[in-house]
Amino acid sequence: MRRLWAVAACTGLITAARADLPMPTVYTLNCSGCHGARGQGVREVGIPDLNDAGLFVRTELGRQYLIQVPGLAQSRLDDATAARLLNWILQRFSADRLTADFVPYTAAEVARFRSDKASDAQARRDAILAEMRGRGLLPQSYEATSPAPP
Amino acid sequence: MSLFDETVETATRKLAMLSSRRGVLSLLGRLAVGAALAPLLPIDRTFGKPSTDPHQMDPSKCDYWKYCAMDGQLCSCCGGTGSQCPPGTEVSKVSWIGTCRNGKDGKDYLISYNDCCGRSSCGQCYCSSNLNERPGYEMGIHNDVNWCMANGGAASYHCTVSIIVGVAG
Repeated sequence: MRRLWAVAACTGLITAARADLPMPTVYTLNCSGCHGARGQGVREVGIPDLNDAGLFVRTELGRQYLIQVPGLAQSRLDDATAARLLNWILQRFSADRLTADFVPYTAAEVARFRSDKASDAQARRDAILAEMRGRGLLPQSYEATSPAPP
Repeated sequence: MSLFDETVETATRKLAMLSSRRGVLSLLGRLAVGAALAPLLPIDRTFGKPSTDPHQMDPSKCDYWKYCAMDGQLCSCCGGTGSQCPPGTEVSKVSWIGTCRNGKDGKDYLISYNDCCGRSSCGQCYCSSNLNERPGYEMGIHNDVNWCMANGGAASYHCTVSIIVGVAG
C-alpha cells in the first residue's frame, strides 16, 4: 500500500478534551502524529506537507478540500475548533503560500462542506492541483519540489 | 516635640551616612529578583509524600505514568531506552499521540509513541494500556497500527518508545 490516507490520517488521542485547549496542543494531538511537529508530512507515502496547504485556498474547490480531507472532516473536532485549527495550520506552516486576500475559515463554512468527505483524497487532491496548474496558480517553488504525478 | 525632631534627624543622618541610594536600590533589586526566582528553585515540593502509586513512577513497569496510551514492547527492555531506539533500528516517521498525567506534578503531558523499525519484534515487555483508544471503526483514534508502515523498506516492528512532545493546556 503506497498511500496511508485511510490508515494514518492525523491520528490523535484526546484524554484532556477541553474546548479551550490552545491550538498548538490541538494540532499536536490531532495532526502531528502523521504530519509531524513542523507539518512536514511524509511525502513518499502520501502524507502531505502542510507547508503547502496555503496553495489550496487559491481556488474554491481547493479551499473546500482542506475541510474535506480525512484528518479534518472525520476528526472528532467540532466545526468551530476545526475552523480555528485550519486557520492556525495555515498561518503557522504556510503563511508564505497565502495570498493577501485570504479570508479565514469560519465554523459555518466547515459545517457546510464537511459532510462531503474526500474518501479518495489523493484523487481529489490531484484534480485540484491539475486545475491550479492549468490556471497558472502553482508557483515555481512548488513545482520544483512536487512534480506532477505521472 | 524638638526631642522627636532631633531623634528622627539623627537617625536619618546616620542612615544617610551608612548607606547610599544606589546601595538601597541594589538591595531592593536583589530582594525583588530573589523573590521572583524563589518559586523556580528545584525543590522537592512533595515534601517526601508520594503523590501517586509508586509503580507509576517506575519506567520498567507497564503502569509508569508515561505509558498510559502505550501499545507495544518497551524499548528500554530491548536494548534501547524509554525514549531512544535500540541500535540497528530507526524511529517511525508517524506516531500515536496520547495525553498522560504525571502524578508527581499533576500536569498532563503530550506523549508521542513512536515505534522503532527495521528489526524483527523484540518480543519482550509488552504493555497495552491504550487509554481512550477506540476500536477500528474510529480509525482516527485507533492504535492497533504498525507505526513503522511509513518507513519504507524498514517497516518491521521492533519496539516502542515514548517521547514527551509538549504539555497539554
